[in-house]
Amino acid sequence: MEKEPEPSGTNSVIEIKNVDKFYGDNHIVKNLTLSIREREFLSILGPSGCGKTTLLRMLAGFEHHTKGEILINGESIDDKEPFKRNINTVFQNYALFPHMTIYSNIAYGLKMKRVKKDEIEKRVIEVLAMVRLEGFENRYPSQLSGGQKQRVAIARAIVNNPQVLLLDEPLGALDMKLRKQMQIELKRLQRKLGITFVYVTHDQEEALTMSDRIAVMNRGVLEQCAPPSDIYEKPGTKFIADFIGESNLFESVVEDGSDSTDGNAHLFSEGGTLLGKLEQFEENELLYVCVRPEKTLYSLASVDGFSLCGIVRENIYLGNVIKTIVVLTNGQEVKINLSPGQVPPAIETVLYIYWNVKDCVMVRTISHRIFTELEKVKLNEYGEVMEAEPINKEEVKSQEAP
Amino acid sequence: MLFDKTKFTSKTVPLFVMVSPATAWLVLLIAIPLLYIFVISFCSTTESHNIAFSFTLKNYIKLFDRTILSIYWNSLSVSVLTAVFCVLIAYPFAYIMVKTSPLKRTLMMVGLMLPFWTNSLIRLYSWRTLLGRNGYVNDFLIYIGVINEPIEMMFTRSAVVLGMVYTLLPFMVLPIFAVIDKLDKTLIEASKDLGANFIKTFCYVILPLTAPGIFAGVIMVFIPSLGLFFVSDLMGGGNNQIIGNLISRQFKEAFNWPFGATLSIMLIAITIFLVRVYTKKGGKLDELGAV
Repeated sequence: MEKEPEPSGTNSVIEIKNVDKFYGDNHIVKNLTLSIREREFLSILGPSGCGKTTLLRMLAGFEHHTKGEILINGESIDDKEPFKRNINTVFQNYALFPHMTIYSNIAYGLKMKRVKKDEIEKRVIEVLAMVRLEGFENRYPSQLSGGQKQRVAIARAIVNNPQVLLLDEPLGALDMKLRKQMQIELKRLQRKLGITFVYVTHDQEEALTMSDRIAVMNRGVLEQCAPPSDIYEKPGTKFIADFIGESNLFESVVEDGSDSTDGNAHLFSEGGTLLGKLEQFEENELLYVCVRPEKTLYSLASVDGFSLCGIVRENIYLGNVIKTIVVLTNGQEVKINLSPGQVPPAIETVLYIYWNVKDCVMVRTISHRIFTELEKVKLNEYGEVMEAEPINKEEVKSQEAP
Repeated sequence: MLFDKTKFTSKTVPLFVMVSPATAWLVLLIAIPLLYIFVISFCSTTESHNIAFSFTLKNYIKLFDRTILSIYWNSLSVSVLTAVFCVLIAYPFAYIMVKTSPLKRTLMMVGLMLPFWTNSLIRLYSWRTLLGRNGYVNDFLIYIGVINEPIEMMFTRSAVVLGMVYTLLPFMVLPIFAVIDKLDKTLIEASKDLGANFIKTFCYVILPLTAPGIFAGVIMVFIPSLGLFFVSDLMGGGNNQIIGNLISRQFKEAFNWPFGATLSIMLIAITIFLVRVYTKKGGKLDELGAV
C-alpha cells in the first residue's frame, strides 16, 4: 500500500529504497520504500517490535541496512558515520551527559564542530529560550524533571540546526498532561524551525495530532504512508483499520453473481449479508469491511441489503459518547457510538446493524497482495513454475515472513 | 526513645542469634588485634626484645628518620608506577571485554582469573626463570645477537613494578570492567550523533564517566602494593624495600614490634586517607569490595 499522495511540491530529503534489515535470521525491516520530504512532520507509527526504531537508527547511522539504499539529499549514506550526517537524534531516554551542565550538554555539538565560543554562547542562550529553560544553564541533568530533561534533549539536537531531526518516542516517559503540552510545543517548534521531523511513536493519538503524514508499520512492513485524515478515514489495510482508532471489521466475500445495479457491492459475512463499496474484486476474495463505531447505525427492522442481526449486550456511558455493544449471531461484537443526547437501545433488544455505504472502507490484509501475485504463477505437474510472470520475488518472500 | 531499637524482645532474639557469630568473629579477629597494634605502637622494647608497656612517642618520631623516609619514598614511587601501568593495561582490556561477544568475554575473564588459583610465590619465581641472568629472555637475546652480555633484569625497581602489576592487575580490571559495562551506550551514540568522532567521544564522555572505576581500581592496586613485601623480596632481591618489607622486618628480624605497629598504623592511615578521597569524590564503598 505504498500509494502516496502526490508530492505536495516539496522536495524529498531522505529517500529509502527497498531497504531490508536482518538481525541474524530476524527480518526486522522488510523491503521498505519511503521518501521523507523537506519540512514535514512525519510520524512512524506501529506496535512495539514493528521495526520503527530500527528504521530510525538506520537513518541516524547507528545501524546499517542489509539491503537496499538510503539516500540523504541524493547521496548514499552507506559509508557516512553518524557524526558526519546532518541529522540529529532525540533519544528515548534523553541520553543527556550526566557529568555536564545543561549548558555544556547543549554546547557539545557546536563544540565538536569547532564553532567559536561567543557564537556557541549566543546559540545556546537562544535555544534555551526557545524551549523555555532560561536560567538552567548551570544545572546538571539529575536536577531536572522529566519534562525539562526532554526539552534539554530537544534543545541539544536543534542547536546544531540539523536538516532532519529524528525523535525516538521522546514523550514516552512523561505523564499524560505533560505529554499533551509537549506535543503542542513540538509541533510549534517544528513549524518555526522548518526542520524535517521524523517522529517514532506507538501512540496513535500522538501521531494523529502532530503529523503531516503518518507511516504505519507492522511486522517490518510499511503498510501505508498518508496524511492523518487519510489514515483514519481511508485505511489502506486491515491492520491499519484495526490499529488506528476503533472500528468494526466484517470479514466477508463477494456474493456470487451480485448485481451491481444499485452501485453497491453485495457481500456475505458470517453474521449475514451486508453492503460495501463496489471495487475491483477477485473471485472468492476475502475482504474486510471497516466501519467506524460513530458511523455504525442500527434499526429495529432489517434494512435493505443488510441482515446483520444482533442483541444489545451493554451500554457504556463515557461522558462525551455512549458506547453500545451489540453481539451478532456469530458472536462478533459490534461497537456503536451514540452522542450523549441519544437514547441508547435497551439491553437485550434485538436489532439490525447497517451503515451508509459511503461511510465504510473496504480493506484487505497485506498478505492479500502476495496471494494475488501467487495466483498469477502457473505451476506444472511437478510443482515447478511454468510461466515466469514478472513478479517481484523478493517482495513476496519478505511479505510471507511473519 | 533512642534505646527502643536495642530493646530485647522475643522478635529480636533470632536476629541477635544470627548476627552474633559474625560480630564475635569481627571483634575477635579484627577489632582486638587492631586495638593491640594501636596500643603497642606507643610502647617501647626492653633489652630482651619484649614489649615494655609504657607510653612513648619515639616510634612516631622515628618515622621521620631519613632511611625510613627514603623507604617510604621508594615504596610510594613503586606503587604509583604500578597503578599507572595497571590502568594502562587494564582499561583497554576491560573495554574490549565489554565490547566483545559473551563467549570471548568469559574466556578473557577466565584468562585473567586462572593464574590466581596458583600460589603467587610460585608464579613470581617463574619470572626469575624468565628474566634471570641465565633466564630464557637473556638466552634468547644473546642467541639472536642483540646483546653479548646478559642484562640484569631481575632485582631492579622495574622488576618489582613488573611483579606488582602482574600480581594486582585483576583488581584493576574488575572495577573498570564493571563501570564500563554499566555505561549507558546511548550516551556514546548521542555523542557520535552530535558530531564527535571516537577519540573525542572517549575523551569527553567515556573517560569522565568511567573515572570512578579507574579510581576504585587505583585504590585496590595502590594500597596492597604498599604492603606486598614478598613481591619486592622475590623480584627486588632486598635492594628495593617497600613499606611492607619494613614492617615484616620489624616483626620477624628486628623484633621491634612497637615500631612495626607504628608503621602498620601509618599504612592504615594512608589507606583511610585514600578511601576518604574516593568517597568524597562520589565513589561508593560497595564498588571497592563488591567486584
